[in-house]
Amino acid sequence: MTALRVDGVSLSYGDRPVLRGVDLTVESGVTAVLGSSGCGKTTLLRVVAGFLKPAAGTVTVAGTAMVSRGRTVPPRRRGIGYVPQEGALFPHLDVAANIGFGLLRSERRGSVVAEMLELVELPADLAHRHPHQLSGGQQQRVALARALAPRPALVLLDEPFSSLDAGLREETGRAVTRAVRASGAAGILVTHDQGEALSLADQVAVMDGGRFRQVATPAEVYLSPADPVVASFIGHATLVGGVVTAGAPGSATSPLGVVALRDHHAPGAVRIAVRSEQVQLVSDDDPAHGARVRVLDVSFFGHDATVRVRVEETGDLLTARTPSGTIPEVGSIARARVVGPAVAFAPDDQTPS
Amino acid sequence: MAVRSPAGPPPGARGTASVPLLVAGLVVAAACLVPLGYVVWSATDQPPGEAVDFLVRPRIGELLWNTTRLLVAGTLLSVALGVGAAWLVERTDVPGGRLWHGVMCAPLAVPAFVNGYAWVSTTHAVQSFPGAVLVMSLSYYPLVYLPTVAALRRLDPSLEEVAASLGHGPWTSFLRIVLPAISPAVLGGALLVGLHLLAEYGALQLLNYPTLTTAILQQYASAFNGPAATLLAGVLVVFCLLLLGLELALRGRRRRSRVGGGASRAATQVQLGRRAPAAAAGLGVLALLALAVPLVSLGRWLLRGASTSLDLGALATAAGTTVGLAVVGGAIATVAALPVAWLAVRHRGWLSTVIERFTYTASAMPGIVVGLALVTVSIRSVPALYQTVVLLLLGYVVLFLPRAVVSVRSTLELAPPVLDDVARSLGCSGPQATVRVTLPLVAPGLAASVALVSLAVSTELTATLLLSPTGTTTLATGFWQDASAVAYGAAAPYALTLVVLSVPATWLLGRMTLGRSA
Repeated sequence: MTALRVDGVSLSYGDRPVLRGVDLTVESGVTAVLGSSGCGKTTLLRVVAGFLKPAAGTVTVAGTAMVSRGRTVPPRRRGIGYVPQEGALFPHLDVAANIGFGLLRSERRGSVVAEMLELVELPADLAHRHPHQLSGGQQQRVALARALAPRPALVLLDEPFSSLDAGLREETGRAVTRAVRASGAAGILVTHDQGEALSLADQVAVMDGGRFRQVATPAEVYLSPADPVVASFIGHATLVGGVVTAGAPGSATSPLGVVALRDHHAPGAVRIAVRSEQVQLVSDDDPAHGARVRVLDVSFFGHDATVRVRVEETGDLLTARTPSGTIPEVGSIARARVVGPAVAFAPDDQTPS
Repeated sequence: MAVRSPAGPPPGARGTASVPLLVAGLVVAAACLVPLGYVVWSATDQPPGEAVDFLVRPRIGELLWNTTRLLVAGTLLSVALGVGAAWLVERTDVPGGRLWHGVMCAPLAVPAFVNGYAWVSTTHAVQSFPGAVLVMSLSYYPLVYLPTVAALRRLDPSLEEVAASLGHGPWTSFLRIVLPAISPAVLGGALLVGLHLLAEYGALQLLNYPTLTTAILQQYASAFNGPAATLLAGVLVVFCLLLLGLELALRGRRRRSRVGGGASRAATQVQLGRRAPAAAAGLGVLALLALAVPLVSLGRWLLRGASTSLDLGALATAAGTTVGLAVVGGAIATVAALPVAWLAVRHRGWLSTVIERFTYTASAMPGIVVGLALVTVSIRSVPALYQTVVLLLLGYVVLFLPRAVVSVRSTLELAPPVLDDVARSLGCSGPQATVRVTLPLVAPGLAASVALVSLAVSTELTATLLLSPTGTTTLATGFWQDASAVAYGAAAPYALTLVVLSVPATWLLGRMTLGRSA
């Protein structure tokens, strides 16, 4: 059964529209709602949870209408799990009482608490600790256990890892999504971190300006972005102008030389989304390869390096990811070319804002 | 009517406030505006010629000069004592360490008028300007000490480490880094001292040091001279407002923000080395003057007075009346603070801010002005209320509501709305969420609020003298009857009971400063 269906949901704060007709379908698994801050993703989550009432649209959870034709079900009757930022554990209750909070009195004494602790991969002896005695990652897992204990069909996670430090974030993220999948609930993970969204979710919904630009699998969102905004938001692609000629619909001529395109295009101007890992820097000796560029700066990461260059002819700025063995000197001249097929858009396609 | 911030709900703010909540908040705010309204109204009500004639008399000039120099010297000495003690206790390895913290807070448990009585009954030398400055500073320096300790504790120690790495010694880094950083807390404490000095009646009357406040009560009590008392009250309120404005202006340009997050560490302590004994001796002398002198004097009079005139029955009645008034007053003030604090925390907006600010105006009103205002207003418009316990309790609530609002507000912040959201997503209705989540979290804070206001009520002298019904004796007024009649021995048991009653609140304040929950 479809875990969540959102149709045409709109909402404004005063005269500022925040959601402009949002549609989203979640069958099962974990869906990441990805967007920069202020794009409306947390507002959408609060509408689904029932804390906000949309001006228009419907919300259906596991086949039950939660918002339709002006009737809204209050949050407490929705049966949706909710994990806010930083967990928000009840500070006056221990771990067991937090997890049992949403259960009937008779269920609290049973084995549910132990099962939930096991589900979120925490030791059973944590049950009688208080929230202030737990680490940030443990608090997040207990918050998830609390949300999952009443067996919801849907659980909402509002940037649950943003307060954790980098190492803990990845580990906690994996454990949390494992637990959501094991529980059988569908999960919605709101995040502004594209790495988190791409690595943890089964489906990524890219939000911008109060609506979704693309809802697809992580690979599809990355490799076949629906528009230039998605392309430049995910993977920080650089948009470069080019021209498709009549005889060769599968490639474009650009300041970086001839670039192979992922799809065929009609003849005329296009904009090519070039990802940093597709930009190859070679020495200036070989004029047959690519455009002359000047190296502006280098960020060395050990396993590789990110090099920012300026195309001499056009002034375009490009980012190249190069292996750590072949890093050019800052200020020197090199040549850049594009390796592998790139995504291109018609020039009138929406420009990134 | 609804409270809503213009740019849509910021994180944490929630929808619209309900009408009953707003009405409750407005009623509380209106009650708090009675004293200020009374002063403004009576200032416009007087014939201007007579008022000017009265105010330019040399006697008034003398009162203004006395009040001003006491205000300046007392505040400066309190700041010097408070900041010095706070720095020694919090930031140095002074022998005795944190034990001093309790000792430094303890003078708060001795009401200023008891302290004045203890000193006067020991030596008449304090019945002078330097004496008044000394005794008042010994009573009120903890009002600077406490916020300064709290600010020093919150101060990021890496600031001083950076100063040291830039070549500053402990003394220059204190002057250039620490002092500017803690200055808002010190200013806040100095403001409190100033307001207390302006409002003080009992101690200054015993010290035979006439100020505006003592003159107001004399005019009122001896001559029943309403217009004169009212005019002087207006002048006193102007003093208070000037003080508030001065503090605001001094603080306004200082912005203190902490950059970056992370867990704060304990600061490294300054090694006093050979100066350690001198530092400990300094704290010791302060403790001796502020604590030992009043307690020894009290003990002496207790022993001497016990043989002659200890009426246990009267003392017990006064204690019973005091505790009853205190608990009821504390409870009413806390209940009145709830809508104000709830609006301020959960429904931020201009109307909530206005309501909260209005409740704070009373904190600048000396007890004597609140008392006079309620007496005048009740006689003119609700005569049935005059000389009743209801009016007395109303006076206590208006006087001490700011304390209740501050503690209720900080405790409501312990229960952020997100906890309500989670509870509702787990199947709780609004009232269930309140009972299962909000109430358990805020109950200790509400209890602390009741306790703080109760203890303030139990040692309040000026407003009680003006407002209590004839025949009602509290510990403070019972003490006052004897002490002002130089019956020092008879006053001692009342004084001791007052001190004992004040110990819990003092302990609570000291603990709260150290950053543990109340």
